[in-house]
Amino acid sequence: MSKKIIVAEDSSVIQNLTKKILTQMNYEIASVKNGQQVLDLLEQDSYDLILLDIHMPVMDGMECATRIRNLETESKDIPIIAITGNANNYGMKDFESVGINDFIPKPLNYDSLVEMVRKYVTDVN
Amino acid sequence: MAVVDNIAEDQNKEISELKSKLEQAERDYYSLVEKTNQNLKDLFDNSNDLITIFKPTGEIRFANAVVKNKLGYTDDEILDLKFLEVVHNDHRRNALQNILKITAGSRMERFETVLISKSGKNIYVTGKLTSIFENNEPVEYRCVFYDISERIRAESAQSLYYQIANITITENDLEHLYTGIYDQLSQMMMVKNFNISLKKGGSYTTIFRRNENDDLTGDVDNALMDYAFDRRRSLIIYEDGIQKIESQFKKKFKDSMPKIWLGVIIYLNSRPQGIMSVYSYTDQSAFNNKDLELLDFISGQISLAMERKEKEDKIENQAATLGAIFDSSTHQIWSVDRKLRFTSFNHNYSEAFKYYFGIEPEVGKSLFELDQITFSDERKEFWEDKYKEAFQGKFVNFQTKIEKDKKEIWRDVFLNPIFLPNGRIEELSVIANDITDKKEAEVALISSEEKFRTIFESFQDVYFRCDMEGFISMMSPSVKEVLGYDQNDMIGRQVTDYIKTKAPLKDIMEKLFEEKRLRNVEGTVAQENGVKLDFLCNIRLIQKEDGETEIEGVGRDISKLKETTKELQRAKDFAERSLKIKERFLANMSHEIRTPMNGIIGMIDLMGSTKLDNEQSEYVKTISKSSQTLLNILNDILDLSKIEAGKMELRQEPFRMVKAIEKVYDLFSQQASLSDNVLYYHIDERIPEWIVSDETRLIQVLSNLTANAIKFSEEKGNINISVRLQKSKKNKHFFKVSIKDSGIGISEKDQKTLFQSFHQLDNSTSKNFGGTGLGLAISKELVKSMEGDIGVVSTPGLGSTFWFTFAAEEIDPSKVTQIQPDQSFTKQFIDKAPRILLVDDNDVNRKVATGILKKSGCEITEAKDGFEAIELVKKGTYDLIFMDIQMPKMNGVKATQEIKKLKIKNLPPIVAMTAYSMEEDRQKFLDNGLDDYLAKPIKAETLINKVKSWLAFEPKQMTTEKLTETSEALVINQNTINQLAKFGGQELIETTLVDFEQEAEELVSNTQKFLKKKDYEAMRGELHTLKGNAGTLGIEKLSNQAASIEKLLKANKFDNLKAEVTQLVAHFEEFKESSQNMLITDE
Repeated sequence: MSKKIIVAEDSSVIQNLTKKILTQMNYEIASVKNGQQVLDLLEQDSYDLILLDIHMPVMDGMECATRIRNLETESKDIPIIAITGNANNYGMKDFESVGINDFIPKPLNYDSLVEMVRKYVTDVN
Repeated sequence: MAVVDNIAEDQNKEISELKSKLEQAERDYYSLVEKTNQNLKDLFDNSNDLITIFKPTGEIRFANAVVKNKLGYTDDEILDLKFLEVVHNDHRRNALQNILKITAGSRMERFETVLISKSGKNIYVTGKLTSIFENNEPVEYRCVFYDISERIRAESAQSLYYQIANITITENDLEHLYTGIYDQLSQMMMVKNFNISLKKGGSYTTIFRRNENDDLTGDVDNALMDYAFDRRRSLIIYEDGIQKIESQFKKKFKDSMPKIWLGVIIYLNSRPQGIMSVYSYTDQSAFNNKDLELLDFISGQISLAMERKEKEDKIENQAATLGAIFDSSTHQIWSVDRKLRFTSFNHNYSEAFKYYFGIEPEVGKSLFELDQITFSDERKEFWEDKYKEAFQGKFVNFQTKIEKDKKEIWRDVFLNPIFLPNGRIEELSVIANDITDKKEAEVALISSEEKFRTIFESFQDVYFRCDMEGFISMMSPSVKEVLGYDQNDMIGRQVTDYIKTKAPLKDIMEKLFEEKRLRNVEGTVAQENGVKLDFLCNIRLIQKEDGETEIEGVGRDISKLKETTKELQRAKDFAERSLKIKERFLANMSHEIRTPMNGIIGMIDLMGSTKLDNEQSEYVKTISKSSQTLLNILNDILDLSKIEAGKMELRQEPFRMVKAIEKVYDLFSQQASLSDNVLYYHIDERIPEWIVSDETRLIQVLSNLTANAIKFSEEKGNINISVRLQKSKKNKHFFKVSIKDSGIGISEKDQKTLFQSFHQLDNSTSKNFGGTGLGLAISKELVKSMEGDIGVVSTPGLGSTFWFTFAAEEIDPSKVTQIQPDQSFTKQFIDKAPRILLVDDNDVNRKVATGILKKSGCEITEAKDGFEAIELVKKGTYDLIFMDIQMPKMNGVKATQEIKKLKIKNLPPIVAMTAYSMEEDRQKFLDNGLDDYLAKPIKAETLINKVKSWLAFEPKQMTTEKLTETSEALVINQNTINQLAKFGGQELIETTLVDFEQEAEELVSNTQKFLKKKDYEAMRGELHTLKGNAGTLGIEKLSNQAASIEKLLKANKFDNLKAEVTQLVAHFEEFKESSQNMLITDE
């Protein structure tokens, strides 16, 4: 069974792109546009990884990550990878403090995106 | 009645008178008759005729003396016989009939019959038989015959002669001949016993016998035959003679003895060969001398017949033999008459004829009459002429050909007139022989002879032949030109008259006998005018057809060649010396230049990292650029000198073809976009992923050509790199790489000189574009060493396509990892500043490296040579060692090996620092214990990266940014966008660009909107997204602009925002246009 990944990204360009690339790699993708929608998804189902844009409306990535780690379900341990253009000069330390496991800088490098996902989701395929 | 009585009396008286008168008359008459009878009897007896009188009862009344004599009866005996009793039994019936006819009154002129004597002998008679009538009654028959036996015998003998001669002629079979003869003899001569025997050796072989007695031993025959044979005479032997012979032979004959025996000698080819005998057991008088003559004749006939038979047999044999020869001959034989009709032909001719014409020849028909065959008039005339000539009595021989199945069949034809005894010629015999093979061989021989002669006569070298004593038997005409002698004058003279070689010929001859042929024998030969020439000869022994051995050879004047070779050698030596000097000079120079270059480049890098004002920064940039160019030129010169010295060695390592192309693309896409050109690349799908070749050199060539293409392209052009697979042989592939530009193009004249060293198109261009002009020459040499070629196709004004080919082997990707050297060191984590030992004998180099490394936060210890380094390693602890290779006293390799021998715990990785010119030796260093490799001249970035690759080290921020060329960003970076193709192909690119355009449209318009509202925070958010998205897709200009506005907002610099946003919009428009173009182009 394919591993399930949530892509949270407000830009539809990046969202579509990421979705397509990862679908191509045989992952099952659920895409949302803000942090709140991520939490909504996690309430309904369990996932293997979250690619989380930091700069998002409604609920940004930092807030979203904090909330996930405070959940009382199994989903609280899900790996979270930040996607960031680093608008707010966050460092790795800042990410770690909210429970983000790793980050991919923008502009996105497709190879490093795939590599990063593979690192966290050992795919049975 | 008296009267009557009277009358009667009277009458009686008268009667008695008359009676007495009559009686008297009768007496007279009878006495007369008797007298007459006696007279007649005497007359009859004295006559030669056989006179017989017999009564109608048949009783013989009279037979004259002749009759009694012939028949062998006495007077009394004969008168007791009846006539028919003396007639031969076979003739009695006929005789009786004739008698009856006569009795009936017929007249018979001639009466013929055969009488038989008392002894049984036949007497042929002819004569008159008359009948005497009284009162119409026959009273007597009178025969007057004469003996015609002799005549009959003669006649039958004649008939026999004739018959036998006839049989002899007509009867071919001897047995039939003998039977025929016997039949005739028995018929004509009443022969009952007949014998033909041939004497062979001492005994007789009976070849024919008819005998009354069945059980013959042949003793009588043999004795009589011997008797006659010894006398060589034809003999008649009677019984008494036989008895005498019997007693003479002193033996008793078993066979009954003949009364008479006749024997004649049979001669064959004039020699007595046998005896023919006839005999009778009953009648001694059965044969006479006349019969012996007849037998003689018969024996002659038999001889003839036998001889003829013998000859016939012989002839028949000969004919059979000849016939067999005729038919079985491998030659075609036929004969024709004067009308050219076939009178005979043999099997072979018939077969050949059938093959040539498809039908069989026919006797009685002319070749030209057979209407199935169409003869050309020419051919017909030819044959007719030949036949005609032969009919004139000439033997004609000629060769002629027939074309059949596209083959030429040649025949050798002999026409022989057949002369009849009278000298006339009615027929010709023709013998033809298929000589196609011979003819072909002949033709081949003629042509080969001609060829040989032509070669011989046009020979430039001197060909000769001589016998074992050196007497010349053959000499090519070329000798006149080469040596001045006439070829004919030389024949018969000795080779030693001309050869002036100092060394004795004996040695050469001995070697020749041993090896049968010698090559490249050098010698001196005198010209007619005395000038000595150097000759190079190939000689060999040849076996002639007559078994004699000769020497054959070809010589060439190599005097000029030798002189030329010497000059060439001198020139070569000189050139090589010069080249060595040049090489050494270049090597020295390169080393000399490289060292200060290191200093310059390193120091500029360092200077760039110090605080500079704008003007200074500009100068530093220029110096950096110039020194970089200078370094490139230096590298080019070094490359070329190495190539020219033949010292360029290719490194054969596996790499990915696509990677290599991408590297070039990455290297030049920026540069291309600076001149507003777009760089594309296309790789043939069939190209194997991994190949084994020299990646560096391949990239070098590709870079040269790509750099040129960019350099010479005007703005807004396209440069297209394409790699195609030309052909493959097993694992080996041949590639063609083309670099197409839309630049100024190159004239045909310039294309020719393009790839020569130190060449650049006209000076004005070189001024405009810079460069050493060595790039293409180097590329050409590099490509050559990769089994390839290089070239250009160009139309001035429309652009050029530079191409090159190269060969490389494919390698299975699974094997690649094994080939790559494994890294024995893993990255070490360092908490504090890395401690680095820098070993270099050159002060400038050390200063540069130390400067760069210290700036980036490393702790540096310097060592001037290997010894110092070893001492330092022993004492202190280092995280990394940079080791120069070329050092006096102890070189870097040696020093490394010494350090490794120390077996220090946590021994740091040792990185070799080598000159660019030694790049090929990289593997050698790794094999010799060094852990990594760094090429000089040292650049800050590469040096720091090298440290980073070995140690987990975050260097202090160096403002090398200033020095990196502020390369103008691209509207769309093709390379980045191409990456997308890996995941989703062209389609993904298209949809993503469309997505982006839509979203960016909104982001840009939001930015403008927020700018108006002066809602800078919201504006920043929009720009941030735009920056990230555009950057991800390689839409660089737009991304950069967004980033720089974001920066301004972040720094609260709101003064110039409007202009910047306008620029942003412009870039976005530019993107839209480009993306449109790209989509169209890609379609």
